[in-house]
Amino acid sequence: MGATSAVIRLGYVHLRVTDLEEARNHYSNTLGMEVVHEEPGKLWLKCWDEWDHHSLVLEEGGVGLVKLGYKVESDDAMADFERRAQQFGATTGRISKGEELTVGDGVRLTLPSEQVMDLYTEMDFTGTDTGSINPEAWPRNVRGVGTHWIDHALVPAEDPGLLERFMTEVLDFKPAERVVESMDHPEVIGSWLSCGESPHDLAVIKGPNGKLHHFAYHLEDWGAILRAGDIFSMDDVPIDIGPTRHGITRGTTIYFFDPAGNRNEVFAGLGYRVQHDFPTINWTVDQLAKGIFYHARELNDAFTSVFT
Amino acid sequence: MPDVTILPDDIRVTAQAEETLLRALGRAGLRYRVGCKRGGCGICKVQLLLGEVRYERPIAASVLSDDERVEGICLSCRAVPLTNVVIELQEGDRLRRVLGFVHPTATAQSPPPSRPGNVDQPTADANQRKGTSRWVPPARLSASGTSTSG
Repeated sequence: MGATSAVIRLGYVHLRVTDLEEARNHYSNTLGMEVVHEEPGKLWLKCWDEWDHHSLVLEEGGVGLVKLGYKVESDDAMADFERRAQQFGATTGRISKGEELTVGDGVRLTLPSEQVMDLYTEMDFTGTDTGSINPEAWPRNVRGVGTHWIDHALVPAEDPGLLERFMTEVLDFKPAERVVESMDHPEVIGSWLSCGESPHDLAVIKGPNGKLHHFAYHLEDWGAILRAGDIFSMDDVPIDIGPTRHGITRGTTIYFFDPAGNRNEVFAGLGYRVQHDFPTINWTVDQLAKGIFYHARELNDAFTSVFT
Repeated sequence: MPDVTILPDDIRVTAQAEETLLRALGRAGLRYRVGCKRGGCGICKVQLLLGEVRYERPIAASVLSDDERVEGICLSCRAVPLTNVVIELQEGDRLRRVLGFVHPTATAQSPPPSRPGNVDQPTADANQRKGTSRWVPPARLSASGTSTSG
């Protein structure tokens, strides 16, 4: 397991929502994202601490994941990923500059678990709300939870081991942690995959192909998680679980749902850094519940059944 | 305000105006299997045996298909009863009480006493209850017992 991937981060999430105005209220007023562009039936939003044009695209009609966009360092690296994806046997396609608002040329991958992943190298730079010169610690006018940035996504896969192999062999991700059947039978049940030093930029768990389990926003600390929970009660946002801690990644968390039923997470605590020589942590499936919800130590019904 | 009767427990609650089935049951301290509570996952589907419901918000066809609607399957987190309704939980699910301490004499077999706007206890002997056959046709019941909710 070698160097950091040329994939930089999860850059955007494209979601379907049943009611765009309810979604606008949730993502803008409750979570605090800013609507940066809108067209009939579609919204583009960003968090205050993000510097690219947008990180979330909401499209009215249905529910669930349209695609995930990952930003890549260079066109050469992107071309290399495309070639390796084809060698792996994945379906690939090209995206022309402007096809995605403010996004440059890109490569579209269909993951072995059927979700669509776009790779791109350019998106309009619009800057964070605090700027890049002598910035204040945070903007005074931030609304609601005040999410910092979109941090990661968790997708289900019928064969999590295959997706782990794709992400490591094609895109140079590294499993920071994984859940295996047992140490003697290391069939992969789940994998938390890093492209940089964060514990996960994409995670996978056993479940139906083509769906989304959740995507997560970074918050500063445990206090911010508690405050987010307070705001969810004030705004009648259904909480799936939390505030609590994950054993896996050591992150503190609340899972909750948007008005269309897509699962969101607020996540805090960079529990550790995935350096180049980081030893992958293995959890055995008998300890899965503790790995997911470190305090309750049991999974709720929804965790393994609610996908959109 | 419409009554909601839940089978097989045979417990009745009263829904307030504009209230979904999930909210009405939840307010009465009744729990069952639910997911996102926002119409996105389909985990909280129940069988509608009698009565009518409406949806105030659009429901994705991927969550509740036309065929399911025809079969009387409804999404309880979004369905608002228009009339008195009778619903049955999905196979394998069961009703749980979380307000049992409020009604210390209540047991699973003996629902709590009637309270306005809350849980309403049907008479103990279903055979003596007026209108039983009207809102729970036995033929319909047996048919629904073998159907699946997808």
